[in-house]
Amino acid sequence: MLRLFILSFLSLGILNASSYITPTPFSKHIKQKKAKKVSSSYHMPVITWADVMLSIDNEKLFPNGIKLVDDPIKQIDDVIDGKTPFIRQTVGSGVMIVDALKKAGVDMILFHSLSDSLGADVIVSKKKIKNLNYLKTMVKKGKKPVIAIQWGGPHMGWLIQLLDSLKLSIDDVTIKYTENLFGENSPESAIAEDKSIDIAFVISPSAATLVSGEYALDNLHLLTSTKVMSDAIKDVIYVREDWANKNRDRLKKIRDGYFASRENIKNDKLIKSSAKILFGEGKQGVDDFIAMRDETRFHNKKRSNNFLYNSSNLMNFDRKTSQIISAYSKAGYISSKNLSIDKYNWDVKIDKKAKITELDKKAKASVIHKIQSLDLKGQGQDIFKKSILFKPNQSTFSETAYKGEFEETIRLAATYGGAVIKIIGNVDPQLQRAWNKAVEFKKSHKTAKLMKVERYLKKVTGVNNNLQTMSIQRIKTERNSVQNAAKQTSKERANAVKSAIIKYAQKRNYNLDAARLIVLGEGGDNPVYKKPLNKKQFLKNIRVEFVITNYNAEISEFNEIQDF
Amino acid sequence: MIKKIALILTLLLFSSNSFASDDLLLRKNIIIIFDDSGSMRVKAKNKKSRLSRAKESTIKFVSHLPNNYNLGFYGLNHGYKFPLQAVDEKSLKQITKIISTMRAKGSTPIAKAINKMVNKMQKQKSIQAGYGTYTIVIATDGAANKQNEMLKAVDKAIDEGIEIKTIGIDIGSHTLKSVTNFTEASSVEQLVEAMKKAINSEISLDNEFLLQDF
Repeated sequence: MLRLFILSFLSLGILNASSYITPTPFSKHIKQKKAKKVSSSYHMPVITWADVMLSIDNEKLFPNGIKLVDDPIKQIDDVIDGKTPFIRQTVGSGVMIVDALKKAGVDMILFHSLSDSLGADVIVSKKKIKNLNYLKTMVKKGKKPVIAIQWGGPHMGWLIQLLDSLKLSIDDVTIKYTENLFGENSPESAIAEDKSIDIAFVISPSAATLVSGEYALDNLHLLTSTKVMSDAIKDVIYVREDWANKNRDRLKKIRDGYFASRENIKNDKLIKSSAKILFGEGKQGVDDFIAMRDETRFHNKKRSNNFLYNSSNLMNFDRKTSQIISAYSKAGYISSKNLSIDKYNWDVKIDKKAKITELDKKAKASVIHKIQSLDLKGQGQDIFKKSILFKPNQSTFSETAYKGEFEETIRLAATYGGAVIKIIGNVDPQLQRAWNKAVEFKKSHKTAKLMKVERYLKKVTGVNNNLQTMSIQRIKTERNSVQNAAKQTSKERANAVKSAIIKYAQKRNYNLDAARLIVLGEGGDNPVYKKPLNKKQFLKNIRVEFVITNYNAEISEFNEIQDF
Repeated sequence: MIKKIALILTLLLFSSNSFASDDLLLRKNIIIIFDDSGSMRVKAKNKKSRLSRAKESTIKFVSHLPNNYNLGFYGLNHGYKFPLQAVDEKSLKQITKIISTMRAKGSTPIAKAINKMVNKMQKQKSIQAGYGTYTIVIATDGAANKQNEMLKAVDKAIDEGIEIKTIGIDIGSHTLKSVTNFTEASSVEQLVEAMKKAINSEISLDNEFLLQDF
């Protein structure tokens, strides 16, 4: 139904992108009134998202049942009016709500985490924006990328995380805020109609309509999604602190009930009742709901505790919230100064030792095969790329010298949890080029040039090869040996970089999904400068590249990895 | 010659495990093509037969093969007796037994042997996703059958990035001398050294910058 609804807007051509809104903190929208005591007949708010199932399954725990309230201002009003102690939002928009309620004298704390978006939310861009790296390039060139996003909506926190991963700030971009998430006056209509928009944060049915199918727009494509940035949008419940302090037993029942209900997400009856609340009666609604559910990662106790209480998790609630609060404060999106949000204390015991997930030797080899094959077919989408340079012959990578790079890689691995980070070793290509040229000149009988190669090899390696008398087979064999050694060494070097990153993470107690750090060695096959003309160019070839790539194909080995 | 940067990253492909890795893709591969033709029965003056010396030296060599190597063994007239694999205590006993029981009989079909072993190496290269090193060592005492085919087989091996190294037992000349790395050996010690040398390459990468004028 949701899909059809969006389709109908596009097909009827009634999208109107001209209307943007000025970002105003939520606190400005609420009437300054004293918050009422929470009624004994309170409800649990829900929003249009698949984890509604968990609330429906536990409806009996809420005296006034559950209530669909997508409008954040309405949720704020309900809390102030004492109709509910709960706020149901994503972390990003939740910060705005907590800020607004603080202004009204209500302190909220984080109560529970429910789910993540795993592909249900998408960034669509103009095709000229080839990858996320391009946004950085635009900024470097002095052009601000123009972004369309719903004001106060579920994508706000994602925007901040995305900019942070690119080392950009809100000031580096132009943001056009829309009133709605989809349909009229939404990012979806904005990118379809407004030529100035470069990228838009949309939901997956909108993305499907915009880039594929009958009404697709030729100039648009998918840039990335929450399948790649798998920790970008987290759905949570906040609770009034005063009420929570008096209702620990009730909160415990709700928490336990939600964890238990995660086992029921495939229950037909629960699916139907969830679909009915969000999309109304009918098969289409059920189908849409199932599609939404399949793009949702429901939190079990381990994942929830890891998000809320694990200090080793670089994407934990505290880090994420502080990143968002800092960006919102600078941009004037919230009113409170020094806002901080506490979490309900369940005395959870977390093993704070860093968890490093890794594949076994056979699985590692198998993943590299698959990735090489996907790359050959052009099925990998590079999200962005960066290089770190090394000194010639360097084989160790100290924490002191590469702290910044290691930190960034670990952070990126956490930010782009659904992608892989290829660590690609490259060595100096000069020796390889010399032997390639030797083969070429030998074959074409260019004796003078062959002699130049011979002199070069003698100067560089100290070995006197008599290329004139050597057979073409022997020359080819030498070339092959150099190529193989270069490939081996470059992979060894990248292996050493990966090991150093893992050690660094362990030492700092950072969780790291090292299974997704894929090590490749390209020898001297892909130099920045094929024939370096000076020492500066020569040094730029000796490098390890980090390439974050999204593969849509299933790489089953990753499924064997245990969540942390 | 310009002053070279210290060879910090010199690859010692044999004799050292300093770069040995648990990365399966980086394993090195060697297949020995062992001449077990009738002429290997010949004894040189004051020496054991060529076959005895070849057997003794090959056993010594495989017993000390670094653990980052896979080993395969092919007898010209006995076939692919020991498929390419990592050598552990159990398989070392196996290969030792195989070598010990070799008898000298038949002709010298080197072309056929190279072609077959190139196919095995190609398969292994695919398993290792293009990484690894691939060396075929031919220990032989004389002229091969079908020499043109043998040269074609060598060309095929080279095109596949497989290195062929030849050890001439009691011979200073061979058709393979000009197209492969050739070492002459006679005593057991010389044969062992020649086999070690066959997988002991020293390649210095990341050399100092020197402008290429070609």
